[in-house]
Amino acid sequence: MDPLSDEQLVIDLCNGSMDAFEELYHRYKRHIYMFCLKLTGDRSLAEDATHDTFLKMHLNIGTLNDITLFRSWLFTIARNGVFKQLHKQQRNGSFDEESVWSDQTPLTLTEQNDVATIISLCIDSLKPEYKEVLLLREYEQHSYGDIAMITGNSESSVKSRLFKARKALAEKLKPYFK
Amino acid sequence: MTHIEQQERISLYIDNNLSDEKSSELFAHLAICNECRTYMKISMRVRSHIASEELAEVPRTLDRRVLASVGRGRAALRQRSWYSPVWFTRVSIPLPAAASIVFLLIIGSLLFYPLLTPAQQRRVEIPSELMARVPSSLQRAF
Repeated sequence: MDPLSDEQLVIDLCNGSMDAFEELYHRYKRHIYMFCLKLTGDRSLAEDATHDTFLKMHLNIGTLNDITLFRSWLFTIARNGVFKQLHKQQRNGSFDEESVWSDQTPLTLTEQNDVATIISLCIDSLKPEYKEVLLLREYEQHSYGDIAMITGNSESSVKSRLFKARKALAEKLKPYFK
Repeated sequence: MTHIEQQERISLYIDNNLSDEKSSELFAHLAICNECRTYMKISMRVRSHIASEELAEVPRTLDRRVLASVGRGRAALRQRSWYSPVWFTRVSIPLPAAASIVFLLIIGSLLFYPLLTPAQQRRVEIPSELMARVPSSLQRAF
């Protein structure tokens, strides 16, 4: 039997089906957890953010006007939850458009020989505002339009941030590709 | 066209958002530009690195937490549902309020009726000249 589509599960969930909730939860839990984990870099925070995301999904599913946008809507909830946590933690919550890195020189970077580990460390060192667009594009293959909806930015801003993130990564990784 | 503009095109190309015409121009540039080739190579490597990364396993405690939280929420809703929302919106406030007003009117009229003068208590008589203008078929009603 073919698995039910997201749209059908959303309709069932709106009608109060707990099975539909469980199916959607199991379908998306790893994606949402991974997204939160990559953004926060903290397992405990990622776990809390994932928990809150699915709870909000259950409570607010009735407010989702277009069920075809369910996946983007779910990531929007997760993203907003994570950024709320991150802004709480930051003493200075202002977003500096000029700087792409949250940590200019990760100390562990120079100690690594494995390129894959270095790439991971570089991605982890990006500021959340740049990391989120890269994660949504590369991990989840969201379109520019979807990413704009999730992050609350324009498509041109998404393109610009993606380019800046890739450019910054390329600059940082250049010595390892010679 | 500058290297930065070409690299912006590379970013769009990686995301399948560059037209065929611009892609051809880009590849013509890449054939002669080492800097942009390196940028493309690293960006593609980053992409394949991310694509090859396994999704993290979700802790089992999280499964239990989420399903328990949602289950508790549903149980609370079910418990309330037999009298909600009709009870809260239609009955719980308007009915006692209406009953209180009626009760106060009855108590008020009982308390204040003895204070009226006998003339006030007497039934108002319709003057005879007015009564004469009322059709005889209706006079009995008065």
